[in-house]
Amino acid sequence: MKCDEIQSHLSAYRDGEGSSERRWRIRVHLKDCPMCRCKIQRLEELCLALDDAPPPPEVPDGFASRVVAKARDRVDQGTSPEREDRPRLGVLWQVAAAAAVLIVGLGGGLFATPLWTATTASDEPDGCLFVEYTDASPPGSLADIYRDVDDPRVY
Amino acid sequence: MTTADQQLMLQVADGDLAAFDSLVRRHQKTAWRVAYRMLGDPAEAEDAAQQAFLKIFEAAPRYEPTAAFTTYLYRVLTRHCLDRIEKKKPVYVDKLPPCRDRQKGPQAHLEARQRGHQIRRALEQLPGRQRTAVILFHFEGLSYVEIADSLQCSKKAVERLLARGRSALAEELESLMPVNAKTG
Repeated sequence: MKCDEIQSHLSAYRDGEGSSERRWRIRVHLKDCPMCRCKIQRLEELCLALDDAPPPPEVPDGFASRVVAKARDRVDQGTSPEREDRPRLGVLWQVAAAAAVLIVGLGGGLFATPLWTATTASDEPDGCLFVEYTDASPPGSLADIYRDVDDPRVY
Repeated sequence: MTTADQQLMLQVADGDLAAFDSLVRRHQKTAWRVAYRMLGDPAEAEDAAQQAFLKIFEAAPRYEPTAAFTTYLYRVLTRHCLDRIEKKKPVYVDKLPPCRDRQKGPQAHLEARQRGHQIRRALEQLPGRQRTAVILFHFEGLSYVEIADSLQCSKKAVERLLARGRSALAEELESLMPVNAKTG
């Protein structure tokens, strides 16, 4: 490793980060390179200077009370927290997704047979790929019902 | 997440303001400290910390305890501070922290003030994400992984942010370092 590369990793090396191999290479390089040794010494001095930084001021008096008062205002206005009684679109999405799966499945079955069979093991029945395709559909959904209809093991 | 924080968050999700009050009091020092270090101005810091807590309050019903609450707080707060840094060039306010250690003489106090002033000014020169990485590592004691979680980036990215941030800080803070370390 050259000095440029070593120096780009010195910060992480100083913090004990990096792979053991990289750390070993850096350690070996530092033994023979006074310039990189200076760099890591400088980095160490910087870290000491930061450690010695004065602490920030105390939390302002009444901070928590002000935050809670604002939260209370929002509750009074009926804006927070976000309630679970908002319109639930989950069921609608499930129906829409199931319908989309059904349409794609039918379309695939009618027009795209060569494409499906190209990626399916030849000893599998044609319906098998579609069964896999709709396996993730929620129980009771249209896709789920269609899968059962299509599955020769069910009928 | 500690059980106490988890319990409080569950109560906050139900709109329990007393639980929210407890949560804010438990973590206000952390939030204030990080916001102040990132923004450098007490008024901005208070507003940012306040907004972060309110964001947490609003999002409580959707909160999933996948990590410690402090990690979540760091994520919300630093994102909020970064937005402020990006929208507006922070104004450096020469308002110094109150003297904590009255045992120190006036000379030591003056030196500490100057040191704090220099460090704050140097931090404000850094791009927001580098600044955040340096603050979370050096002043909050977070690991690379925890910083990555807060900044929602990879550990490798944290490594780069810290390396660049420290390199820039070393240039700015030469006067705080011994002469023999400045060569090279």
